[in-house]
Amino acid sequence: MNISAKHTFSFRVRRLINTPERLLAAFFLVLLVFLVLTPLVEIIRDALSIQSYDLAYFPDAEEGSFTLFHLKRVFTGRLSKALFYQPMMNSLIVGTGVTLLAVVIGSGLAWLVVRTDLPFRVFFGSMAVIPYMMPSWVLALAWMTLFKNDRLGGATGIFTYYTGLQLPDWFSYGMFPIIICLAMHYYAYSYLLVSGALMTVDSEMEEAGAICGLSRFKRLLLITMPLLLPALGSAVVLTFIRILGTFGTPALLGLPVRFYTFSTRIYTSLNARNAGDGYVLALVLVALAILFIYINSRVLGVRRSFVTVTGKGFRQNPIKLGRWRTPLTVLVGLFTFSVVFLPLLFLGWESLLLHPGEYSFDNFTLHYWIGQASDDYVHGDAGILHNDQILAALGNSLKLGFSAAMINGLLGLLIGYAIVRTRGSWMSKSLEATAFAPYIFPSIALGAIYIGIFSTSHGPFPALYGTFALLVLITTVKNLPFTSRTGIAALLQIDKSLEEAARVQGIGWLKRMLHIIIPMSTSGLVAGMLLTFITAMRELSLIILILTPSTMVMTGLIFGYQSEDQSQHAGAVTLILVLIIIIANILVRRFFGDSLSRLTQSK
Amino acid sequence: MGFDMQAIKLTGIRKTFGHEVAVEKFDLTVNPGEFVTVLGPSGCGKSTILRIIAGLEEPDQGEVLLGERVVFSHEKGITVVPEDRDIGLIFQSYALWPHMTVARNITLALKNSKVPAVEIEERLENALKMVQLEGYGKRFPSELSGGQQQRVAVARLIAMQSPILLMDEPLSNLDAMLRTDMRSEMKRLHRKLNATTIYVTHDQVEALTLSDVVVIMNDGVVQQQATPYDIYHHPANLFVAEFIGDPRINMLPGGIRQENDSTYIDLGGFILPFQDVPVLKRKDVIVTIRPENIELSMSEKPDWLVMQLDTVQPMGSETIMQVSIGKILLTVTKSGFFHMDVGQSVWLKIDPAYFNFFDPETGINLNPNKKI
Repeated sequence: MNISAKHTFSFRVRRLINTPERLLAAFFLVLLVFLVLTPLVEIIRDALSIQSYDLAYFPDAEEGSFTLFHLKRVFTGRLSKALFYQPMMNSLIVGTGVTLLAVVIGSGLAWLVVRTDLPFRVFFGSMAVIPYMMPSWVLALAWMTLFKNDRLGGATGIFTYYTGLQLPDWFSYGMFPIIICLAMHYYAYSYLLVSGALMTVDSEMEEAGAICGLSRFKRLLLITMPLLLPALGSAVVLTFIRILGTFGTPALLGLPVRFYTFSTRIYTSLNARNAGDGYVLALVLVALAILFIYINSRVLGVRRSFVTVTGKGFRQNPIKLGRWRTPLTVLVGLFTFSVVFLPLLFLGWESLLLHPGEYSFDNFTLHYWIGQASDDYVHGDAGILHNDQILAALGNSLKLGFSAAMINGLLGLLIGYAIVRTRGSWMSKSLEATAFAPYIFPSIALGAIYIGIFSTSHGPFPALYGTFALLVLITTVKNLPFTSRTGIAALLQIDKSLEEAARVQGIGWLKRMLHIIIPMSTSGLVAGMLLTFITAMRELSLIILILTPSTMVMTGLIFGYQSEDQSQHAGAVTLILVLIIIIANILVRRFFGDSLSRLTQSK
Repeated sequence: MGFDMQAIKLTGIRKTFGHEVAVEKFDLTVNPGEFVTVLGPSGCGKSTILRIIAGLEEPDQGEVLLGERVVFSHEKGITVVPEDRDIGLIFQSYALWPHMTVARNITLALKNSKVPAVEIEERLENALKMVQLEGYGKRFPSELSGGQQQRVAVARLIAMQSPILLMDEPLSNLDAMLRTDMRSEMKRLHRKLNATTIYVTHDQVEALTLSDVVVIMNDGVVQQQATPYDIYHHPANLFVAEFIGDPRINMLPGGIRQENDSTYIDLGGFILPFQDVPVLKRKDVIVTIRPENIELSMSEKPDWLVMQLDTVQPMGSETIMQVSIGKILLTVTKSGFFHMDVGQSVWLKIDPAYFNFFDPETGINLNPNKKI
């Protein structure tokens, strides 16, 4: 019998339509390689070639030709100390300091909330993740409101106003407040990771230790800690990489006293149109991040298998704190109050001051909220509630948050589907790895890379620089590691047979997605989308280099107000931003129930 | 029910996963309306066969026919996707969609294939009635017990009215009592529906009680394909002999001896005379006998073998006993409930007429057509 090639072809097409996972995987792999890996190649090339800016040094050279000029300048040149070594030292010290502090606070809090009989621990637990929802530099703004000294001229902070004392520079600016403010924000990562891991530790394991005669401390040291090591390791690496790439806080508290970290140095280099140097620094950041992830996976990778949920029901008996109960409650209460409520309180206070620096009630005004534009006031800008610039930025922020969330939700679903359904193939593995790759790019470095690549057109992508699409694109890409993980996790929970049951009954792919896969993964996807929304709304480091006046978002605006000493506007806009994020969070949670809390923990 | 009965025919099926061979040279013909069970230990490739018939796995070689239709042929380049095969399949996990009500679980595919609403309603009612779940349409799967969930999966199958039903260990997630009930229900269902059915299981009781034909598989290869009676009484090889039957069949190495015109079989600890000597090619063989084919007496009987009682396990309707002589250990079952002292002597009658003989090297039955 002879069957024509056309016949065979039609079978193939029918199969492709009904099981498009390989096609999807291939498509996304190509797309992501372009979006994630080519930029890296591109900036390596730019870092090693003559840029238009460099023609001042090399009038005879041709733009784009190979040079080690940037490398030399950054690593060995006259300026290398200021350009590279000092920022690197600062970044490493800040990174280490923040990580230590954040991990200790975060895991300590997690242990108290999850495992002990601390009163109000449910409340403390939900408060502990609030800083995660705020932009990381809210604390920096609040710090300035509280502790600003007269070093920069202009108004001073609440502390000086009430005591008349000028605080030393090291306290008001630079390394010390940067470490404190960042730690008070980033402890949330450790809290989430460690509390998630703690919930999977069966207290029978500790009780078994007790029966073997181990003291409470030894049980913590010998049983609980080793089980938590993978989570702690991830917390350390995650925090450290985030700190390396964070821009807002070091910029607000560091730039006024010329305290540079990697991220602020990249920003100033690129702003000075000295892209070559900026790219070299961005590459160093990426390399550092890869190094830390590598160390983490080498040291802890083998142990990772320890933390597996057995799926069997288990008990967790709260540990009695005894006489430590009251002091610890007060301590946790104070901490929560000062990282969650105080910063917002100070910012609100600041936004009500007619003249900056005078924190008395006589000086209160609603002008900066509702006033009309007038030359009588500083800078003459209208109050934020009818300030077109701010309303436009608010619109942009929401637009960015929604579109990034929507696109990420869809991508997470499809990429997760493609990865899970082609599991075991090289395509699945490479797609998973590529989708995770943006994780290794510190935010500021990714921003630098995207300016580089999208200033000209590439293949199907036009030159996107200055467009809103570029903001959406970079936010989407930066959130991919998380959304693709959410997608994978959601899809893994849907047993293959649920889809196969539909297949044998003649239900095609699109209908299966619509009726089975999407409804069943909703909670996971919505959680992923909510997190993307929050991240997009509060993002500064990633997009600061890309923002233009027409694409200005709220975070960029706040940064601008603060740099121009319009602290009332900065405070007011920040409050609105935080309010929107929290409202969005509450709304989504109300609609989709507490299936979300499960996911926030898996982050 | 209005099913058109369809035959299933698989020829020369080979399927590998990576370097692992899951199924090798698999042939199977199922006549229209027949109930065939594929039985084997886990990992023997039996589920793979089912998935190949459903189209969820694509074999590397061979041909699959459903009715008159070639749905897969490696040679002719034909692969019909599962969506187009019109097959009913029950999964081990039931694969009920947890976010849909029972009614929607049953009717989703019908709506998808544009069956008129009135008919959908009719089929739903009928299917729920057949599995005795009337009034459960609005419930969600999680609100049902394991047995009820299993019946929803069956109802979904009934409503689709597929001419071919495939069942992948549908009872394995139920507890022992429920399994027995559902077993008889499955049998009744098959009689009612009369659809050609392939049933995959690792439970020999299900295989023996339900099927017209049993196919026993091991390591991807068919060991025997026969009626339940023949599988039990004339196992094709030692694997089948050992796999079927609970308690396990007795296996003894034996040597056939000729002395003065009479034939004996030497079973190590004892020697038995033979009347009807089967034509065997070998002198050393493996002899098997089912525990219930050995007679046991607690009082002395002339000419019976004396052995020592090692363990007694009264099961209620029967008692399983282990007896020994020298190094030889035998399992015997006796109808009724017995309590006996371990260590006491018992007398056994072993009739060589019940023996099956196997080649000790290949494990193949040397006299498969012997009447027992």
